[in-house]
Amino acid sequence: MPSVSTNLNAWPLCSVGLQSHCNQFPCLFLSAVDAYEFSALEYGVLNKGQLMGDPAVANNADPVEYKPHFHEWATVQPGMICLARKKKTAVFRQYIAAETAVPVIACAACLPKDDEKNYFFAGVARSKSVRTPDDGIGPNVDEFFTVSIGGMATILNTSGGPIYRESARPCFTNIQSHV
Amino acid sequence: MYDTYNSDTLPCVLILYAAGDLVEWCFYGTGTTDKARAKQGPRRVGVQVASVSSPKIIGRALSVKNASKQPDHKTIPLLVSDIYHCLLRSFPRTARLSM
Repeated sequence: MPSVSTNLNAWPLCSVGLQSHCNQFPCLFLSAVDAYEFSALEYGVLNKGQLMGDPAVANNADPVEYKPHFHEWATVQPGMICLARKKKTAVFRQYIAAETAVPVIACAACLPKDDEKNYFFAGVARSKSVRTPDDGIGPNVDEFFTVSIGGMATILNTSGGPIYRESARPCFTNIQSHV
Repeated sequence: MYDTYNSDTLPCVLILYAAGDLVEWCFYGTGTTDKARAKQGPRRVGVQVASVSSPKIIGRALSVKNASKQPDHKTIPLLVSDIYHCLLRSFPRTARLSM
């Protein structure tokens, strides 16, 4: 009878919350969009200073971003970066979806740059969760999708510049310390 | 991997070939437009090149397509050619030790 590790190496994609010994294979989790985060968005309109978080434009009050509809905000496509809020485990007891899935957000709309410190990386979406416009009362179901927390992922380069696979960086130091 | 300049006039320079640029998530990066986003859909979590000491690192790049080939990559949506592969949370040993 094969061992557990042998099974994981042979079939790494189907294990939820498990990872094989080889870090090239993905580690998958079940996840759901945290609808409470949508209602907790502090800003309905984000100005340029809040968006960029740059002291040079901190006083720029030009409206740049408006709070989207829930179905726009909560729709997740494969390859999107998912985040989760720090220090939120105390409220998970009221959250049924948190029993089986990781509550995450995949949309940064109306989140200012200064709020980055309140979130941590939860994974890269591997399956989609497309929401439909609701009746205005609010969401009544949680649509689950899978996120990858380890292994290879294909994501979109939104940095505005190239990201190199291998880069050469000069280092002015004593070579003997690196040999 | 490393290479050196063999010169008597220069100080010892070590060229480090990193395994790939480290990538971090961000709400607003250099590729995010600061214009009104009425017709672009809600803003998503973006990525950008990170330093080894960043607390938001998600992985390192394994392949690359040059996004700067776009005439104005800040306003034109990124194409499929801008997709690159990223190895999540598998850092070179030196980077892991320095974080």
